[in-house]
Amino acid sequence: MMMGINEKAWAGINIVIYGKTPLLPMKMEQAIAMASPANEVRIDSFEDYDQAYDFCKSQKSVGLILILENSGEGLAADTFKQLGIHYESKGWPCFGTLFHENGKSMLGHLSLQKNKNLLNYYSVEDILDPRRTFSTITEIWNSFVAAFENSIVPTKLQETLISLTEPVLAGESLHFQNRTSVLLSHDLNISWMESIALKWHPVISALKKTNDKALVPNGVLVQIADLAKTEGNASDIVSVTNSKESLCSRISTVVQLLDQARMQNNLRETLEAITPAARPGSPALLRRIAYSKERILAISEDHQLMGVRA
Amino acid sequence: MTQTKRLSVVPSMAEKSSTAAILSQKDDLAVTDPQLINAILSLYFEWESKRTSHITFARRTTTAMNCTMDYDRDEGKPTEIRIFLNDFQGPVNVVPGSRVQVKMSVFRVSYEFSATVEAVADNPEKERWHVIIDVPTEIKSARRRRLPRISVNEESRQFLPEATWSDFEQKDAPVPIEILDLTLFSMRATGGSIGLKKGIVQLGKIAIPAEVVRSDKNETVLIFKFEKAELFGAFFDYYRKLAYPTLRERYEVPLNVGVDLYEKTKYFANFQADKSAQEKEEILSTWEALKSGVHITNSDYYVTNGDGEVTGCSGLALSYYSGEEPVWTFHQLCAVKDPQALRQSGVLYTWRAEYLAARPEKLSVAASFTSKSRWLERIYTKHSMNSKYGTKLNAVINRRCNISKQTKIGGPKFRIYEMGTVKRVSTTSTDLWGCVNPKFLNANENLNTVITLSDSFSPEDLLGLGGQLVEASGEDNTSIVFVTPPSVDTSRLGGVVQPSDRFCQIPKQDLIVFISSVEHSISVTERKLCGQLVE
Repeated sequence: MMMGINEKAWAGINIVIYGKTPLLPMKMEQAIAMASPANEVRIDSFEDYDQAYDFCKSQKSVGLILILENSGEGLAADTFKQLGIHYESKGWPCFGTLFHENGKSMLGHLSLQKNKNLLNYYSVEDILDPRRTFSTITEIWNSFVAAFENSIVPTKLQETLISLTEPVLAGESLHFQNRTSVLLSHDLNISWMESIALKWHPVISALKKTNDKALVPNGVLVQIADLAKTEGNASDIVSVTNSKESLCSRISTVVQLLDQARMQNNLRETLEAITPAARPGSPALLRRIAYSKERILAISEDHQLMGVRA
Repeated sequence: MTQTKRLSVVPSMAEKSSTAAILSQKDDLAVTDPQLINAILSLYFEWESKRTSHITFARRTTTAMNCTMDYDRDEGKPTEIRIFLNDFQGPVNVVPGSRVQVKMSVFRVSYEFSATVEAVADNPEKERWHVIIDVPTEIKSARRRRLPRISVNEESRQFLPEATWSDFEQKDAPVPIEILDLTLFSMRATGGSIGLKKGIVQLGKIAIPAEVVRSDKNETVLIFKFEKAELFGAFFDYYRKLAYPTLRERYEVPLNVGVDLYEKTKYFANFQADKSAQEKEEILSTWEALKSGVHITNSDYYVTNGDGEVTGCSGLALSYYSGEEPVWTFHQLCAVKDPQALRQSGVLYTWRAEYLAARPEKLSVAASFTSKSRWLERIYTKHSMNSKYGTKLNAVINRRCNISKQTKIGGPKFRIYEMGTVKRVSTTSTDLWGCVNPKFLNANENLNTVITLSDSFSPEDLLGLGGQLVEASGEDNTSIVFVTPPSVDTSRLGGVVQPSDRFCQIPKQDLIVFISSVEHSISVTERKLCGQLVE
């Protein structure tokens, strides 16, 4: 599945393409628009620095900048920083991708080195060539999600938070929930932030029970994880998939119920019981669970689960 | 000029299949790439007000039924498509496994595909779908794109004069027009087929030769056979009252309203300084002189708001010839800035494309604009990427210079033609175009131009042509805009660089695609302005 082209993939942020080569920024904008019509309204392109700057300043929602090496007299990294400053003034990191037109250059690599928020370095053809557009957007989306996650929960902090959950959240449970939510949210219409929420909800939820002081300095993460809050008394997966809660919340609840079934050694029975309900016209999430049945079972049987904490 | 030729890798045909080429492909080509199929469907799902769809149940009936397609919006891409029949109640008598044919149109681009029924609803009103089909594995672009069509109902019929049909068998038979575009119309058949024949449609004061191309017990379709541009223009003035009710022809309102509008919208100031009183007088007298050329060599319309006030304007002029082919220019577009009136401003773009696409003669179109207008850049880039017939969008430098006449024996051949009561001079070359006169054909003198998209002409070549054009026009000096590729160093020409930095050439056949691009861009811009970006 190509993530990043679905309607909600970039929810909450705008994307700017900036570069000085005539026609190229708009061609890139339109190439992305053709690959992902639902996201065309989020993308704006500019050749004029002042226009780009004013746009970023007035919107304050430009969280991703695709910038050409040909972006001005200095390093692209400097221009990127100036354009991204408006979004960052809201307290969120702004990320970017650097594009070259005639092969990677020393200056390009220097830009990547100078500003770590420039995540990737592509050829413009990776966007303009329709055979590559989809995969390029997916790669950018994946690296954007990973970088954002890392900016709010650095690796060391991730390890610490996970270790603090040990009393109430077993390693295999966390591993099962993470892998299953990735599997289920694949092909579903979730945003970049919701994909982070799904990953961290089990941990934050466990810490709320055992060590909520650890969450005090991590308010942003808690806020994001709350997007995946589970339905309190849910016990029936089919009902959950039919509920009016947000998709992210339903996925999270379903994953939790599947994990409970796994721990009670009746995961297979649970999955088989819901399969008949996954008919054409039934909720997408339910059909997705039925479609992924064997893979969910494989995750639960994965021997690596046993050694997660080790 | 000679160029060093190098050996290069020849790309395979597959590599030439850009998304644009596929999404806007020639008829009968099919898309089979799942990602591209998803992109086409996504376009349909995204733009509710810009789409139509019809389904045909192969075993049930051959009648296409109006339907709406949708999918579970929880999906990142559809894995099944839910079909709701808009004019049909109760369950459909089909079985899972049967095949259906779906025709859909988004922004006037039509597609069709076949699919398999996966489920049939027992209670469609409750389910909000009648049938569920699988996602197609192939989508074809369906038939040629056609001009926008207007359905004539009782209310809109009042804007059309009475129409009658005469041929060698009957005289002045009433013609109840039902569907109309700029090239044809259809009417309900009242007494069965009238057969295929030629005749005359009398529409108000104008008599248009026409031909019956289809006639059966249900309807008769006639195509117009315009022989003269004036006749086409006169018909357009009836048609636009239905299709573009907010348009007013330049000479329907006092001429000074136009000058005031250009001033108010900063159309003058954007290119040169504001106009002096004398220049304004010259503009007005040029418009007087052009009046008899309306629909022959020039055409200008205002757009009005709900109160009937003029809020924008756009025009067309037969600007020059490329070889024998007339090249019309989109020009003189301005509009009062008002995000609420965006769609109304869009009319200023679409009438011109529709008008030229339907004109009887062969022609092509040229347009200049500034890339600082990202809205225009979006329209033209979208169009050039969707082009079926070779629209070219170029980055250029426009430089305005004051040029004195220059005599050269054995210089280029010029074509001199009348625009209203004034003469215009044009080159007939196919790679270096030049044209001058009347000075204010464009109120900013932007249509006194020398244009080349090739870097094989030196600044001296361009200056020389400019001087000879001035000489041929009978003037001593003229302000000429030189349009050249950025690779040509025109600084030696002196003068002042103009804001326009794009030059687009549109073949006539591509104009219908242009209308789609304009409508799509307007819709995108409207959504951006509505702030629908952040959930």
